[in-house]
Amino acid sequence: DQMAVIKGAPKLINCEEDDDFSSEYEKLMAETYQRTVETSKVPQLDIGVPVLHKPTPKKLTFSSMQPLQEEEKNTMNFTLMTKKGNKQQLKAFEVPIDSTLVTNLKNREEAEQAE
Amino acid sequence: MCCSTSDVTVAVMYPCFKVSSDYGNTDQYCGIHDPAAVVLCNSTKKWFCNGRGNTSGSHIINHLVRAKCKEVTLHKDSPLGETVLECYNCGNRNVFLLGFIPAKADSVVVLLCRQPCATQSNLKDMNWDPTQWQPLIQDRTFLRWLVKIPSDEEQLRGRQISAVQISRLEELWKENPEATLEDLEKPGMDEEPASVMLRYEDAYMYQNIFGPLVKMEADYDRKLKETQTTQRSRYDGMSASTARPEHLKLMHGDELRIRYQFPDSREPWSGVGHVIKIPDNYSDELCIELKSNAGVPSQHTQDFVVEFVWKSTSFDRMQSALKTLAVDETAVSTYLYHRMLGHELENMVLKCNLPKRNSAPGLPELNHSQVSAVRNVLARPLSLIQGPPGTGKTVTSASIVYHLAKQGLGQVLVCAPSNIAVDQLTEKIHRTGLKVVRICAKSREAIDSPVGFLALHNQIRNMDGAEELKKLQALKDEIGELSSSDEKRYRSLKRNCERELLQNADVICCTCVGAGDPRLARFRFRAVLIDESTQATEPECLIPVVLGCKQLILVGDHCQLGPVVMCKKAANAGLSQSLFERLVVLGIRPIRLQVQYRMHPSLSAFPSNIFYEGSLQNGVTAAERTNLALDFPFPQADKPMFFYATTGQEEISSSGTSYLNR
Ligand SMILES: [Zn+2]
Ligand SMILES: [Zn+2]
Ligand SMILES: [Zn+2]
Repeated sequence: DQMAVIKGAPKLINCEEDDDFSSEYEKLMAETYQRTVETSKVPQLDIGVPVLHKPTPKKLTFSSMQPLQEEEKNTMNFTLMTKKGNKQQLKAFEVPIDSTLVTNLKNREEAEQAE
Repeated sequence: MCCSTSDVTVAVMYPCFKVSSDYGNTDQYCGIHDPAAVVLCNSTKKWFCNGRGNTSGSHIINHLVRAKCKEVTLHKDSPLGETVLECYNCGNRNVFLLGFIPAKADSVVVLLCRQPCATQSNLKDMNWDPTQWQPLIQDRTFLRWLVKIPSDEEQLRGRQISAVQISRLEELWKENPEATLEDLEKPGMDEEPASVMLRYEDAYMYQNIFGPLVKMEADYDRKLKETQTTQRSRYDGMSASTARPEHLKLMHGDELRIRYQFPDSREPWSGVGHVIKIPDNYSDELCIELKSNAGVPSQHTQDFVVEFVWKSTSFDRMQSALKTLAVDETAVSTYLYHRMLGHELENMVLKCNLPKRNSAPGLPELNHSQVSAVRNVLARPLSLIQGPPGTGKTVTSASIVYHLAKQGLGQVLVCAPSNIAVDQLTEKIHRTGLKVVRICAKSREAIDSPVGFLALHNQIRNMDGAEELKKLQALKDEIGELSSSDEKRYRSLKRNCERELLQNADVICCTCVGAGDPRLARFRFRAVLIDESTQATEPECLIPVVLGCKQLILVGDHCQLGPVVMCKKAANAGLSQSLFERLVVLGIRPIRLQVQYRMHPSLSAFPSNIFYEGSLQNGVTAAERTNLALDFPFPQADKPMFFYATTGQEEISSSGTSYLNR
């Protein structure tokens, strides 16, 4: 109802409960990383990179708070490969140009060209 | 809700964020429901956002870690659509194991578990780059291309849930998965329970407020006492001693368990007893009297362990008094019921026979303000007497009790929160020639007291005509145990004698908690006087009151320390306010005892001016309080006072609610 501008961002409030969470999280990560799986139980990998026929990206749902940034496109389209049942699905998503995902891809492309 | 992060430049009050069921995908912590920013926990079917709020992990990660959940689904309206996060190869859905690898030369990524799928050797041949594997959860949030992180603005607009609340909400979900954050605010759930009020609609409301507070205090007390375990104890005949334990706060009559673990694999021995001697200035020893000396490993004298045996008795009696007030309309008179709950009421005068002589036999003559107190009290259904230190509270109380008993309207019940105060009053009342019985808790029967001869358990031993009981008692004392039929007979005889003694008494004295003793269960007391009532909590004060009270006299001094409540939360919610104090706030004016006999006038001037609006008068002159024999270098010769810093330890009464002055 009220017109007001909030500046700032949520602040981390340090407390015992948050420290508990942190240590639980670290423990969980360490445990899952130590896990060893009998490889025999896992299906042999057979997942080729799909040939992209440039799927049209799903329209992004911007939060109403953010003005649509229509000027120069500072994101890049990516595709996530998933499975539904046995069916392969390709889902488009956008990542900012300056993200590691994009940078890494560019680096790999450059390396490839250099060869 | 109120947003108050430190760099909010405009303070904004938002209406409370309501979690509406319209939003199937609402973050159960903060209320954010942007489909791009929330994730469904597959096992609990609850949604959480990928924002950190005030915590060091995003809400969804907070939930997964705390609830030990591992599988999630993206929202159908999110950029990636409804997607169960799982390994493309093996179907593993543990998000803590999952990551992704990119294609070598294409903008394609695939989700793979780190072990074993992302390490398989043939990935490279299929144009993937497994060296680029990265986890889906980084820095305690999901990757932002997978789940959007709500903007700062969105997060500030959401509910500012703290890690404390998150942790408690998760605890609550373990019992009730439907619980909401609002449930945390219910009494007994939230950090801050419902506070006491000045007025209550009815006794149910009263019980609903005080019941949870008493429970909190009980839980706190139990935790505190059960952690009191101490090592290195000696066993010595029927008593055990231990070096003064650091945190062990003990009272005479407390129950302790003493244990001995044999070095071999024998079953440990343990026995229970009552504390009969506590560490004092002279000795660090603690003695307990064991209930039975059967099987005591008396060959050992070292390495016993002493543990506290927590008893809920006093708290149970408070809860029961609260309930009685609510459900039993004969618990107190209608007048007292409404007065105690703070309802507007016409003043009422009781018919009474005002005595010709105000002072009671065997007690000192009363001064003017004491006489006026006695005469006022007798004609009123509810009186507060405020007695600053040294104003003769005990004598005044005993005189009142004397006249009440002489009204011929039944026995008078006299209580105080502490045993010491009860004993002092018992002694004064006994001097008036009234028949007094002092009821002690069974656990305190072995403890000496100046009025021990008035205690029920001692009066029984000296009772006329109870020959059979005496014989059995002698036998029991000698052998230590009776045959089961004799024991049965002994108990029934004892019960009858106790009843007879109690019924014939003019006055019965006990602690407030003691008024809940089963031996008083069927007794009704029209008149109840509670001394030191400002040091009792309301529920404690209620125990003697709900035995049919029609005339209540609360003696105390609300300018001195109130009841001690150990649990901070309960204290802050108002449990540490006495009934006396609340009645004063409600406008019931206490009768003041205004002449003090204890202090040198220069000492009384300070409390008189600061606490008693200058009303405290001196019953002693400076000359009477000057000790000529004492040659003490007071800073000012005519003002015999100085400040002394003391570091002594206070003691807490067995009910845990009042400090004792020793
Ligand atoms: Zn869950
Ligand atoms: Zn959230
Ligand atoms: Zn896998």
